[in-house]
Amino acid sequence: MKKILEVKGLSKTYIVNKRQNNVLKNVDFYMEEGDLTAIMGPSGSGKSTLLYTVSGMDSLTAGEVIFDGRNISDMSQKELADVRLNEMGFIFQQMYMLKNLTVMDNILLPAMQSKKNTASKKEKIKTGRELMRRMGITEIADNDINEVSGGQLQRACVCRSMINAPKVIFADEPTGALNRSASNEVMDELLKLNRDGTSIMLVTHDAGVAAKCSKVVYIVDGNIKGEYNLGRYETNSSLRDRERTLNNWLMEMGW
Amino acid sequence: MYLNIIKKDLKRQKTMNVILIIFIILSTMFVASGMNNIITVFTGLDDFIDKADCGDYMFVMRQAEEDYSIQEKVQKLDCVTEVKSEKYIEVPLDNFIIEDADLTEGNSTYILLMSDNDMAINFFDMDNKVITSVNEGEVYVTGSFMKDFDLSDGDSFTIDMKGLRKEFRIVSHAKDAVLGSNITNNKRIIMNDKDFRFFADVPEITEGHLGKISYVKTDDIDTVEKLLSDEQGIEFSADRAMLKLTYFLDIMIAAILFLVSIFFMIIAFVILRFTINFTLSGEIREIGVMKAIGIGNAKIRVLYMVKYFAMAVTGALIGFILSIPFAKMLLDSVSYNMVLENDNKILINVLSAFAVIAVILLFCWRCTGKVKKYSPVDSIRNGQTGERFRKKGILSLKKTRLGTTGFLASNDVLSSPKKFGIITITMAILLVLVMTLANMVNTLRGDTIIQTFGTQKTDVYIDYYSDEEMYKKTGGDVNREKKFAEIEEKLAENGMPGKCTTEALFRYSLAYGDKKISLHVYQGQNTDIEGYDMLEGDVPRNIDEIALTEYVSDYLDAHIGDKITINMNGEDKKFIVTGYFQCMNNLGKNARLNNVIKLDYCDFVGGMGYQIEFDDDPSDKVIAERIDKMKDIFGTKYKYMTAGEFVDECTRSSDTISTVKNLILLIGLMICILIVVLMERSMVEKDKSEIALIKGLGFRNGNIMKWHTLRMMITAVVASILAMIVSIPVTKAFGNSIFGMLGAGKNLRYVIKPAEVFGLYPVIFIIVIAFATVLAAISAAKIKASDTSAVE
Repeated sequence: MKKILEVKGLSKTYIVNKRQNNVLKNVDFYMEEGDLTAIMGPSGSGKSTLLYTVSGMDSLTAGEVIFDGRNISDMSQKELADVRLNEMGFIFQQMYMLKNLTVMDNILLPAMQSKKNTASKKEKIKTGRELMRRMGITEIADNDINEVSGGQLQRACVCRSMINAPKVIFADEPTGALNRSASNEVMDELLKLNRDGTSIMLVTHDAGVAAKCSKVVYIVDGNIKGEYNLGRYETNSSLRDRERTLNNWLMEMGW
Repeated sequence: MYLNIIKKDLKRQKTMNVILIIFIILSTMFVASGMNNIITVFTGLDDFIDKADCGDYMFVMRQAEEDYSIQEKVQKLDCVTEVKSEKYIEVPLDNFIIEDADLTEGNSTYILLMSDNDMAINFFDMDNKVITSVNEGEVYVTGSFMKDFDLSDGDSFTIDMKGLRKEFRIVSHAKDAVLGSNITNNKRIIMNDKDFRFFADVPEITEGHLGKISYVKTDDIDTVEKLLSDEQGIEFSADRAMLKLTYFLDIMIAAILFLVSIFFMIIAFVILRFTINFTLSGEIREIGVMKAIGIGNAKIRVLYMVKYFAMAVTGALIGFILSIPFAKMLLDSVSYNMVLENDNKILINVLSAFAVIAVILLFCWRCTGKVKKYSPVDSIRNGQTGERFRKKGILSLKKTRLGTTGFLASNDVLSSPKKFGIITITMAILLVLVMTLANMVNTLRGDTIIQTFGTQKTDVYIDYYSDEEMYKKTGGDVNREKKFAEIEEKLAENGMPGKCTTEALFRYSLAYGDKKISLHVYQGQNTDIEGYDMLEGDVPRNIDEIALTEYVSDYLDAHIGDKITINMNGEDKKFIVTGYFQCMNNLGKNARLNNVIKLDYCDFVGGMGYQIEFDDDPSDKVIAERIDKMKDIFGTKYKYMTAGEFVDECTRSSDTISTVKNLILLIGLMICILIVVLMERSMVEKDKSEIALIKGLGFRNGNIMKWHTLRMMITAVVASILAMIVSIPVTKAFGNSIFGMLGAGKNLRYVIKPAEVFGLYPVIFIIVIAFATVLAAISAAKIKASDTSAVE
């Protein structure tokens, strides 16, 4: 399988009040096309920082991030913005959306902004509707974002992340703000996307969510302490077994 | 602990706090200087006339030695408590030698010389101190003498008359309450008595050029006026009300400043309220946390009140200090000819500063009242209860053709009309002010209101500042027909045939019933009577016809068809009133006789210059070329003007209004920049998560700057359109009321230059606002995409 994301010697340091805080220390890992990788670790271990640096949302202090064969650490802000717009999708823990726009407009925004997405406006709207249909939220298309539930909104965020058919979706605790039922719904949608070929990298604290991923990376104090290959999760396979195996491994890691 | 919270807050919200302090400073500055100006202007003119001690009525007679009988008659009236007089010698302007000065700029035929020993009223220097004496060889000059000839304190000029020559050094400009206004503008030179005698003791100089101004203290002006209306030889008379009206143009400018001050005060308070609301709404989460840990509502409110009190006091103190020079700067343009002083200015400024502090605290108290409304959880949710079902988005990305940034900008503006409405209204008000003043300036420099100055529109106006022949009033007719024929012949010889005309002014007493009024009567010389505009009725064509202004008609209660009586050289003649016209000269106290009647020049008081109307209707460019040619033919002792220049010459206020307009434009732009920076920085601060989010989605910094700049530009464009719509009725309402008080406020056509008024000013505002937004939006570039999850 082709490596879609490769991280070599990645370090990230913050200077706060003249004190150096090394959040990520010489991190190496990779993701192959079609992977569904979960990043786990205790609070403050650097999970989100890792997600944001490898996705070009934040700068790195040292190292390289190779995305689809290109070193994004050398890219200008403009180039990074283009990569994020056209080749990456993002889902956040909170359902961040522009408050003055309807749900549909929020979903369509990246598509309308993208110059690489050469589809006509009509086709983009059609794609938006199709994504919403797949996520089961067509009825909220014209609603204000304050009028819908958290689960619906997070699914809308998934639609938005998909609108430009990205190569990788980065998700920072996408189910963190949802109840179990809504969390399952969102994860099911992400799994569907992954099965359709989209690579996904997500940060989670939930072993149940991580158990659905093909690979789990465990990070402690800015270092990758271990990686665990769970293999592709099929709907007929036993989630409970995967969860138990993962929990055992996590215990070994010090979870 | 609370002090620590405030300290941390001041540090954390540095930008917003600095902006808030700037606005408090501006508010205090505007409120204090505005209040000061309002009080100064409204009380200033009366104070000035009181301080000058001009009495209740004044009259001017030329032959000073002959008027003792009149003065005695006035003094004998029961209603009169005091009559005092001052002598003057009128010196033709061409007897002045002023280095590097163009005497045609003098706007006067004569300058009046006065002795420091014979000042019946008080004159003031530029420090508003009464002038009591003048050293030998030195002079004070009044009116626009220094401005017209571009002179400064310490400059010299020479008077050369009938073989007597003397050089004088100017000490300073002097404020003359009686003849110094922009409208009257009779320039006086106050000199040492020895210097005055140097000229006054020579009969060849004083012959026909000596005059006297008398000031009467009375409680019955009508009786004095009635007595004087029967007397011959009175050049000019005015009561206190009319004297005040001669300052109308100065007061008009003061009134503009007054309006501007009020607008500034409103803007300052609106912005202040917005800023406080905005900063407090940004702190709702903090409030929630405090409530959650058990701090009471009152404590929280007091905490913010202390913070805003500290900021209000700091800002108000700085604003108070700045308000003193700012008030002076605003009044400088009108205090040149007037003593505009407010003895309590410091007290007013202090009170205004306290008022600003009080208003700020009031706003804060009201705004912090929200603390009570929210539960801790609501506050932590940033004021969002999640139960709001109002649709916010107005536009739809699906339907828009604006592009994403254009769509986001338009949608933001439409979704937050209150927020963007503030800047729209502020900008619109400022633009309307600038546009209205620009329209006034252009009208005062244009030819559309020329008929309201007692003359017809012609191609060229020739002011004969030194042509004494035109002013001779003894010996009857000066054979003007011959003069006109000469001029017309010379024009024809030089290939620019045209008609030469003029307006002559005679002083008569008009009577109807038991009412009587002494005033200037116009008679066109060589003019076509049909060319005069009338408000109502018809032009006076026949030998027994006259037209009146509405003021005179009202005063005499004589209307169209009535027969009024004019005493001409001892003989009562009847004239039928044929119509009403309007004329700003002498503040509307005028009449126009037919062109047929031969008038005796012993009643002649002046003329309005030669007017040339070319036969071939030349373009403006050709007129300008012909004026140059005429200078060669007739000499440079005349001042040549186009119709527009003539109007400007009559009012002499367009430059001042233009200066005020430019000042307002500048201050307006500064206010807009501050508002835009304040709003933009506040919005960037508040919408940090959205900015980070769309950066995360792949929007570039450029897109975000464009988005933010566009929404401010949309606001500026809307404000400009609003201002364009409103400016014309505002110009008409403002102009009609101003000109109406001067005697001509009906059917006026205002000069509106679309390129300047609807093009230049809005474009300047839009560009400046765009530029300010771009600068302020740079802070958005510092927000990282990864801040999406970090922001509150």
